[in-house]
Amino acid sequence: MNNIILRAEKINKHFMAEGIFGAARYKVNALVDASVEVKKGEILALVGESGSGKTTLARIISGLEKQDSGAVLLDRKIPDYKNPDERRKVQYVFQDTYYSLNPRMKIKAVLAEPLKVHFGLKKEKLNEKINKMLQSVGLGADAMEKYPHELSGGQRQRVGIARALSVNPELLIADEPVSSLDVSVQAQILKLLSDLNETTKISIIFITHDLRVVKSLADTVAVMNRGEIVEYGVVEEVYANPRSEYTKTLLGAVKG
Amino acid sequence: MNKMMKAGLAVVILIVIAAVFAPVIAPQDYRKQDVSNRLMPPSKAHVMGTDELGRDVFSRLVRGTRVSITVGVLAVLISAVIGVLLGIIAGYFGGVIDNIIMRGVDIFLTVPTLFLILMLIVFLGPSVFNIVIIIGLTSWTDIARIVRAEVLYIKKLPYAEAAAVLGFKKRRIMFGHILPNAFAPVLVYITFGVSGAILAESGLSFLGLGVQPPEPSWGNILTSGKDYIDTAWWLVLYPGLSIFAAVFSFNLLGEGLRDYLNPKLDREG
Repeated sequence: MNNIILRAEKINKHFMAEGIFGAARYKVNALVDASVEVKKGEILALVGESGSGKTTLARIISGLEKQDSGAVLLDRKIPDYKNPDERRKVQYVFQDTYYSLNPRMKIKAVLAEPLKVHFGLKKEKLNEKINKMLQSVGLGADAMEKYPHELSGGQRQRVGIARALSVNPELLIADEPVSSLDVSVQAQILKLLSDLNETTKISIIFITHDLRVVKSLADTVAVMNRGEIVEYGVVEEVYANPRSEYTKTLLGAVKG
Repeated sequence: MNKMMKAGLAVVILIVIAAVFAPVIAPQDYRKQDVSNRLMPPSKAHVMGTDELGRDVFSRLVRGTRVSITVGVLAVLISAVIGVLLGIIAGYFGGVIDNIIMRGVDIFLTVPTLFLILMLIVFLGPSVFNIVIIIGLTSWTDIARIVRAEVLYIKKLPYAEAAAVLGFKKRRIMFGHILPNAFAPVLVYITFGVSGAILAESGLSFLGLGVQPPEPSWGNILTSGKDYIDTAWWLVLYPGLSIFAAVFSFNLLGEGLRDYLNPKLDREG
């Protein structure tokens, strides 16, 4: 297969946890030999409880954290995230919609900055592009002059998505992008991600603990438990025929 | 803004106006001696009386405002620049760099500051310039600690991480995204710092190690007045009141700012 955008191979990561007063330091395995791959235009869902390692895996893929061992391959080579042109290929959308935007910057400035830094856009071209970006995530031009706290959670998440897309990434990592939002707004944001995936063929790694969302949105799914990927495959197959006990329990919980 | 903060701000503005427009406000030349009218109590001609050389106390006080405020503000700005830079570097880079800077702070804190200031001034000679530099260079440690703590927290927030993922340069992240959000407590500290520096300057001038006569400062007017305290109360009352009013109002302003800029209130918009 030639169209594999991202491949994570046998990623291992541990954290040192400290007991009270630092007395008992013990090792927590956040990731054990975790491997996933994402093809162009594909949506991979990482599912698991909190503490299962799904966010850690995403952070390592995005370069926010370093793995102990294993390799992340982007377009079949190890990306040099210090190179702006490789850095922009993987972008991240955060769970916390308020703190994902600098509270002291207007939306216009939030969206202008990456365009200036990466593409050197100026004045009219810059404004035009910002307008287009706002439109593509379903926001009006009136959002430009607002500060993050003047927008709703859903609107802020739209800005977060627009900012991530502004640098033309190949892979978008959405880390529980809707879990802090109202249920009615959740559906809109999920629809937006699904539409963007369809129109731009951008690949998405979608982190969630909600199995219902996985079925409607994702192509492939990796179920994680205690740092290990316990089930990995095409969504329909995993749902129809789960092999691991853990997945069965999860699915049972949804159906019941 | 609460009432106390407004009151503090009003007095601070008044003091700054007095400092800026000193030559216009002062009714007489602050250097003009008139020995035949020495130690005159407050009257219509001299609203705050005259000193031992017959100079107008009000005019000298207004001129002294300029010196005291200049010393206070400049000294704090120097310490703020040093403290902010070291604090943000320590907090952002962490590890060895953080350790070196913060152990430097610890060592600095073991030195008794007043003693150090006194020694340096004896060494370098008392002048407004030296006082500004010395107070500035000896009072940055608190700001460095405050900024470091803020940076440690902010650099883990999603918007700082988003900036890193977007490929922004470290300098842009530190000064464009982290610092503006870490600045509220610094601003509060700066306000407190000005009153601290004014007190320090007054204290030094009182000891004769600060601003040198004939240039008046609140501290040295107080010093020369202390010899006549039993006969000419106005020589110590007015400079004393000035120092009190300035320090008190800067502190009110600082406390008000602390509430006003409280991130918890700010968070909800």
